Amino acid sequence: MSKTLLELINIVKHFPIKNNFYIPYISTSKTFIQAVDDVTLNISEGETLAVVGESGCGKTTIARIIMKFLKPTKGIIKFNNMDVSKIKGKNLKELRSNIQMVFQDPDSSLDPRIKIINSVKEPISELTNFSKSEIKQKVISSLKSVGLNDEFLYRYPNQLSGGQKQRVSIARAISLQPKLIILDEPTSALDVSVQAQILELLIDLQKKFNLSYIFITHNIAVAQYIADKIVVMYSGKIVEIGNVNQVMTHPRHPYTIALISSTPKPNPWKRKILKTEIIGEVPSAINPPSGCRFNNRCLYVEDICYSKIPKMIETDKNHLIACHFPEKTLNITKNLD
Amino acid sequence: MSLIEISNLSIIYKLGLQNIHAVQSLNLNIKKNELVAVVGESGCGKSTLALSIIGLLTTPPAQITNGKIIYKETNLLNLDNNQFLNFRGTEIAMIFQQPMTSLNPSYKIGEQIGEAIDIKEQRSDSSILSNKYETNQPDFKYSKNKFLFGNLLSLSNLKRVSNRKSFSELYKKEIVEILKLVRIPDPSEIVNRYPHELSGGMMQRVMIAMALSQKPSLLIADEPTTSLDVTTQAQILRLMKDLMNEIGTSILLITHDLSIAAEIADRINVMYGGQLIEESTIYDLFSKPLHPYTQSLLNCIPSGFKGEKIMKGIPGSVPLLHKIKNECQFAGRCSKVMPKCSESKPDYLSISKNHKVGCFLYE
Repeated sequence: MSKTLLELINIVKHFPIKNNFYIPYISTSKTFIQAVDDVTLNISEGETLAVVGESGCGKTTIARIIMKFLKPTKGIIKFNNMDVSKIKGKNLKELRSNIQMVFQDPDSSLDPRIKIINSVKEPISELTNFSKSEIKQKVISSLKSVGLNDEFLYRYPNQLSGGQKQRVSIARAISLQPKLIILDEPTSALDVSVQAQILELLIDLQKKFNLSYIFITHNIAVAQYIADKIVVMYSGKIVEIGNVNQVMTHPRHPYTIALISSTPKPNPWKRKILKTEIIGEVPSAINPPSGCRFNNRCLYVEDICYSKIPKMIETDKNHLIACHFPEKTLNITKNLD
Repeated sequence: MSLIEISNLSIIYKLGLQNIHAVQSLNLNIKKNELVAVVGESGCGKSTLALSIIGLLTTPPAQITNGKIIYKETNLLNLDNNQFLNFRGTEIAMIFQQPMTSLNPSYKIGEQIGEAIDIKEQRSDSSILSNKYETNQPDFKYSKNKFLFGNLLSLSNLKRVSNRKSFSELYKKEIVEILKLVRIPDPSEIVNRYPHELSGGMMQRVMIAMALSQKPSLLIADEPTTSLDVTTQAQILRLMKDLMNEIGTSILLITHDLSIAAEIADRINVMYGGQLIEESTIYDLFSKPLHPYTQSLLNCIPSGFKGEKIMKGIPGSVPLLHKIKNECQFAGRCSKVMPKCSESKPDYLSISKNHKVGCFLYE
């Protein structure tokens, strides 16, 4: 068993909303967007953890909390067994060079007025004490490892295609040889042919540098392709967590089942999304339903689901779901696919 | 019998001194009550094709240089703007990619659907058949005046804007009925909401409701679910298929996702660099894809677990359409490229009854 790299323990993040201008005299209670609620997960060295969920489920908020862009309302983050919130000064620089992030939109994550070499150089010169020529060598080598040669060094982002820009973002992230890279929907803005190239590149880089990935995506097929472990989130909460084989072949939470069966597959003989039974949409994070947050869309809902928040139950080794009735989905999963 | 038959259609965009050949001699037909998908990567001309059918291309810069679009025995390309009004909406409707930007943010849902129904009513009053090419609208030959006065001067439009609020009262029953049809929960309450109060899936349902209130014969759906979540996407696709069976509409689905086409389409056309390169029934295409581009596109769909399958992707990027070259468009990226691929253009050949492909491998 490899070493645990990052641990999130009971992370909660609530964003306060300012009251309506006209009502502060009537109501004094503050409302919150409950973006992330009680999330516990961990990731080991060299492992890929996919965080899957629909928009508004809190995936990106988790990424931002890990990157220390946001401070969690409650909870502890441990990196290499150190509490991240207490790291300061020189150690913070070291932490930053160990955790890097690649963003969704390759257009807006590169400064249009800075040449590629300077974009990739920035984190190295900011966080380390290398000399100028060493830095340039590092830039060249990290661009090379993402498949871009020297001629791209002095180009501007507008001279690059979307896939090339995303390669530059990945080069910038790996230039410091981090242990963990957070990939926030890195391929959702790209065409499928380019997405395939980027996913292959990520798998190659992981083997080469023994990287850990937190791969945030809404596409469960991509998650299955790249991940070792899958976390399924719904409305700020984890509903299912397990190894990719377990979750994809025997999903146990009703939401995961709905998610898998509503993902289109390139197989016209087994059309299934026209048969999916899920209705409705993700509830608002301002007033999430009490009890289980999936209760208004769940097919197996009972009274207890409206009053009691389900706890995580281990249905199999390392396979946890948050549901009051794990036995109800036991037979359904056998018919899936 | 085809509902719409596009033959030899070529569209260019004039950008300064350059011409972008967005669609190049394209042939396509859609039968009645059929769901035809056009699949291709971004920049292959699929949206330009969709806009040209419904007559919404901005000309200039776009210019249709060649071809015919025969819809129920009328060539749509010969119609002027006023004549087209009889077709747009009532006969051919369209759903766009971004439901957020397709709805007017300052009017309530009911008012917007009501306006669509009102147009339908007015048009059926003036009986499309009797004066097929004449409308009640004042005929402005706006050549230069178009930009100065445009629609503002059109009296019926002025009246319409002031009436928009009353439409939701006037057609209340119809609006609620049509919202029920697209499975919006609690329709009588939704009527009084503004677009920003709805979720993306609900807005797309409203767009579909507006399109279907006209009972069109052809519905063009340009990436209708790209901005939606998968569970919502499944519901919207299912809704489109159900309504197709209920109303008997034909659908032209524009998408970049082969999996979506596999789930709902009857026939599929693969587009690359402004041309069709392969077309067949959905089962033929997925059982034996012929064109190397289709094969590699299918190989790019992630499936299986880590390490089970290696996706190669397609090296290079989509061709720039600055000039029509006398070669196969895909030659630069093809894994099975032969010397003659860069010497001449492959013919678009029928391999079997329902399967056509444009590649030298099958000549």
